[in-house]
Amino acid sequence: MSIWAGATAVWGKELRGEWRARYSLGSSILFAAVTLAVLSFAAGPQARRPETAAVLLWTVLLFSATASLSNAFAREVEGGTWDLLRHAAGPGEVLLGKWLAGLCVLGLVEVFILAGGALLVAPSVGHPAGLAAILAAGTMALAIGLPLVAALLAQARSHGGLAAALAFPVLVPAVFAAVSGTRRALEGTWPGDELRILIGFAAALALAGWRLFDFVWED
Amino acid sequence: MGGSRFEIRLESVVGRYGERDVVGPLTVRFEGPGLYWILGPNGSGKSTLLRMIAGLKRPGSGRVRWLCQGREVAAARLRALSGLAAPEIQLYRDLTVRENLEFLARLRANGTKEGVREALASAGIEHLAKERPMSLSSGQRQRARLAAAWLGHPELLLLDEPSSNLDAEARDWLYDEVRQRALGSLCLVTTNQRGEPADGEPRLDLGALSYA
Repeated sequence: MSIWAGATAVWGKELRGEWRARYSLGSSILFAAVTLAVLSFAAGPQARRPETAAVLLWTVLLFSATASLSNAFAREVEGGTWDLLRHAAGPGEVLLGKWLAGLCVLGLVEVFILAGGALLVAPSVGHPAGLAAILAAGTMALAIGLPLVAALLAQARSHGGLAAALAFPVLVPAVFAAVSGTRRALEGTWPGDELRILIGFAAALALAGWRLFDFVWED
Repeated sequence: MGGSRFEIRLESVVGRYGERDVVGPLTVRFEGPGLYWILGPNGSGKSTLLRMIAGLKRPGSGRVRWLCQGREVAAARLRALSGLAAPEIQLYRDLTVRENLEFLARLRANGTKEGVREALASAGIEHLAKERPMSLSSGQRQRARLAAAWLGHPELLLLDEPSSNLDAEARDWLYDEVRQRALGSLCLVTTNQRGEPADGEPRLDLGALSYA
């Protein structure tokens, strides 16, 4: 069986479970709504400025993504399904399936955040295509990086707190680039440098994760 | 059933948790088709041994080899050729029993919708296919695990204490079913009940072994 066929099976299983139990979506959207409301209220009219809006957007996105993706593997361990999965699937299939599912969940959360941001902050967007590109690349980096951290910590007892601590150094370069690129896109400039950084970073994370996941896979 | 030529060779295998050896060194050969019992009291390393044979745990030392028709089987291929049920392995609680089996069939690429129906029927839980595992009794859940393990008639069937949570009648059914499957597959079954193996059935008694 090809890796892709196995990955789509895992992807489908993840989305079906998420749809039924709302493991990630519920908490992430609630978190995003509260954070967005509080931060935009605290910043007041300043929130519309490109540099503030960019920070606000990625702060909410990063922590919502952490809330939604950091339990991707711990749920398998806690539910007693980790060995079921390991016995039936290969590491590549599982990692790719989890990445795809994470991307879908994060995409949905992002739609909610953008709609909320447009409503509460309503910044002017100078370069919509640039903003869309930065959002896509930044989301990709988060969706690849966070499940890797989650996989590393799946067997750890206090994975929730550790996830945040470990995710910080792993994802900070991506978030810096995403904030800078978003600011430039809002100001009306194509964020070419930041896009290159984000795409390179996401590719490096994916490659490293693909190579290292075998170690997580082993008992 | 064609009769599996599946074979497992344990070569000086030691099962280890941290610094502690829990089983071995063991040098044993299991040849299919057939039923082998792995006996021993709690803590004798039965589950550890089965996990190593299933490819879920790497031996502390030594080597586990899987052969099918005389050829080495790689770990990736082993997944399609084997089924495993163990007390600590659960089905997905957010999927129905049928969806769980369909998911596993897709991953192992050895099952069809018809195969799923057959596995459910042979476990006596076809009527529970649309239930989620958490809504089943512990005995029904055990049957669902067994259905997942023998889905697609794997060449190698590994059952870790399969009679747990089953009543006496269900145990009789289970062992009839396993003996039937052992005509075509290599079946390894662990138990701590010395009365479960029938006379003459091959057994590896971990409780009776002393390791040098």
